[in-house]
Amino acid sequence: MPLPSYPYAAGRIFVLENKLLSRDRVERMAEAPTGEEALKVLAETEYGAGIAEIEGPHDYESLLSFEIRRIHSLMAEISPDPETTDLFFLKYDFHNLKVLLKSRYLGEEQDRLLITAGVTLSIELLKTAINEKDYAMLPPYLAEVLEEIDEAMDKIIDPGKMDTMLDRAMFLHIFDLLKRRKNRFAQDYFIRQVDLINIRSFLRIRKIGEDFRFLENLLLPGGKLDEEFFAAAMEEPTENIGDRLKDSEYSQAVSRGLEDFIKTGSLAVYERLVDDYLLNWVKAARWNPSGIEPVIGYLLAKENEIRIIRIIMVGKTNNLPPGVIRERLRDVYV
Amino acid sequence: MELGQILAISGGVLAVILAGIGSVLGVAMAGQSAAGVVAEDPDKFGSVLLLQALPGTQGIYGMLIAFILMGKIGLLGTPVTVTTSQGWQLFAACMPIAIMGLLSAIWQGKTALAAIAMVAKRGETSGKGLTMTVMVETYAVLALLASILMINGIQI
Amino acid sequence: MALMRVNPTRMELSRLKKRLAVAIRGHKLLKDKRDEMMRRFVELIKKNKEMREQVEARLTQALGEFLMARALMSAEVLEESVMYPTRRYDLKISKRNIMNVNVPKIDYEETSQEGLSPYSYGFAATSGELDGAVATLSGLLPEMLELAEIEKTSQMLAEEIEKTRRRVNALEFIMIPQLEETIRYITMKMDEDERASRIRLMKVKDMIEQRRA
Repeated sequence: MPLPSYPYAAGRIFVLENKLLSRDRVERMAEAPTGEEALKVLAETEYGAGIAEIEGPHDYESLLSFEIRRIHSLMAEISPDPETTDLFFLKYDFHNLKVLLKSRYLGEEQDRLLITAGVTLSIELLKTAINEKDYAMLPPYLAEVLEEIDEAMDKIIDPGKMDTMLDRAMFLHIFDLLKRRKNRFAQDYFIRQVDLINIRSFLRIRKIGEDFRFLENLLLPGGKLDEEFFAAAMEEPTENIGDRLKDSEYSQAVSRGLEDFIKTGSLAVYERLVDDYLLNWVKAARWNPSGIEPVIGYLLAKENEIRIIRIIMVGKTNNLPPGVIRERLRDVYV
Repeated sequence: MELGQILAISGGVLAVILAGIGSVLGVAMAGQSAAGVVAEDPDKFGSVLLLQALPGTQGIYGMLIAFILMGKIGLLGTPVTVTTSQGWQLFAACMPIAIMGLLSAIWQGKTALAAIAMVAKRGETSGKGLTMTVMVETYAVLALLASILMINGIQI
Repeated sequence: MALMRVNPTRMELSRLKKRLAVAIRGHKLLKDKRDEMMRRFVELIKKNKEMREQVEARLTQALGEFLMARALMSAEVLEESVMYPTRRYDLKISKRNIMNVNVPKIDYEETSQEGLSPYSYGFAATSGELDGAVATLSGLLPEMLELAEIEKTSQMLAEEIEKTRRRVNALEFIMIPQLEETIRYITMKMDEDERASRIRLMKVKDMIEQRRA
């Protein structure tokens, strides 16, 4: 079967965008007195089918998995470039890799932590490959990093390093594939994501008081801000990174997030602003019906929605004050 | 057959082919998008169909010019002798609609795509989307007019 | 007050008197022990309360931070982040003696591998809100162990105090009064016997004198 064309995918997406959660509905969910009420607000949307399947407000994770699975199969159906759209689901595979590797080093199975929704590599395959150290059956870039990890964990088993090596391998693969496919837009998106994650790592390192050697290991490859940038920033007081980024497009998210971080020590505001920034960046590009933009935009909008629902449902089921929820609530796409 | 005749016919052929290619691309592009919209929301079929059809006019214009040209050089009745210079003139006269038809149909297709996107989001804006897409048509019509006037003006 | 069933004999009396003396001495000793234990207990309880409040405040903070991290990450990702611990401790539990009560003593030794940070996860897929929770918790273990030790100790002391208190009360309100009463009874009985025999003697003497006259 030939792949669906870009305009076709765009046409589908444009109609589907109408079904995304509106700001108004998110507000109503956030204001609902209980988890049940919040779910009721959600039940009037396209989440209704998923809500019918779950047992109650505490089971919201199943609802979100249901939705991720649905989006993944929608993408399989309409994506004009499945290789590119699959990159946005790669994180679930990498999560499974992390779980399986750590299980192997711990010597106990932790299968309940595996994610089944939205994965592109079958869990059975990953499991056999990792448990039997037979990486030849995996894509070459995975085999490579897994061998590197085995080597690195020879003396000291450092789970943090394990995760970081996998994270880096994931982004290297993403950039590698996008460069080959010459997908400028998706590349630009991931560059921004990597930069903003690296800035966040920098701030987190500052908070826990580690040095540049620690940060160096954590930095993700492929961003515009390189190691020298962060090495120099480490020499200065934290707030200077705001000045350094004043002329970049990140300035708004970083300066306000930084202000709050210095005042409260919490990254909640920064993380929200980053998510909003990335979403708005994609949103601005989505009116290109003959490109991948609307598809990626919709994918990210759904991810964002899932984040919003999770924040609200965690808040509701744990009786968090509405202010705490609101502080973390993301923008919506539509 | 004289070289003039060949040149004149080539002009007509190009007008049909180029404007036709433009229309095909434009209509196909808009059509795929329209199919996507209708797959999700069958009620929108009427309004997106109209938008899809708009880039198709350029092909018709090219055809029209080809007919006028044929009449001019007598391909439909008794053939008229066309000198090489006249042949070049007729060839040139076909170019506005050939080139403009190609470009305007493609771009109109893109505009139609955007308008379909708009209609998909808000059904009530289909009139506005139509207006915007028709604006691109103006230049195809101007090119058509120029071609017709030129062909008529050339003395044989 | 019930009397003990005893033979009101002189021998019994001296036996009971000895018992009374022992009971009174035991009562005094137990009372001293109780008072001392109470003193220690009050000290412990005060410390326990302070530590408990401290630990609880920090635990609440850590759990709050976890909850926030939970709101931003899926359950699986959060658990994966902390599934492989980088901190390991060996616990040794020994006994310590306070006022004849065996209480536990917890010693711990860190056996983590050198050079590992407590942050057992990558920073790309996790929220910054997780760091705070992990940092708070990783510093909390020594205090939690100490709290466990103190809490168990005060619990065991409280039990022992209760036991001692019951013993003191038993001595003070049952044993000693009973012994005293019985002793009094025997004394009275013996006095009575003595009086009776004296009267009898006097009567006999009278009767003999009358017959002579």
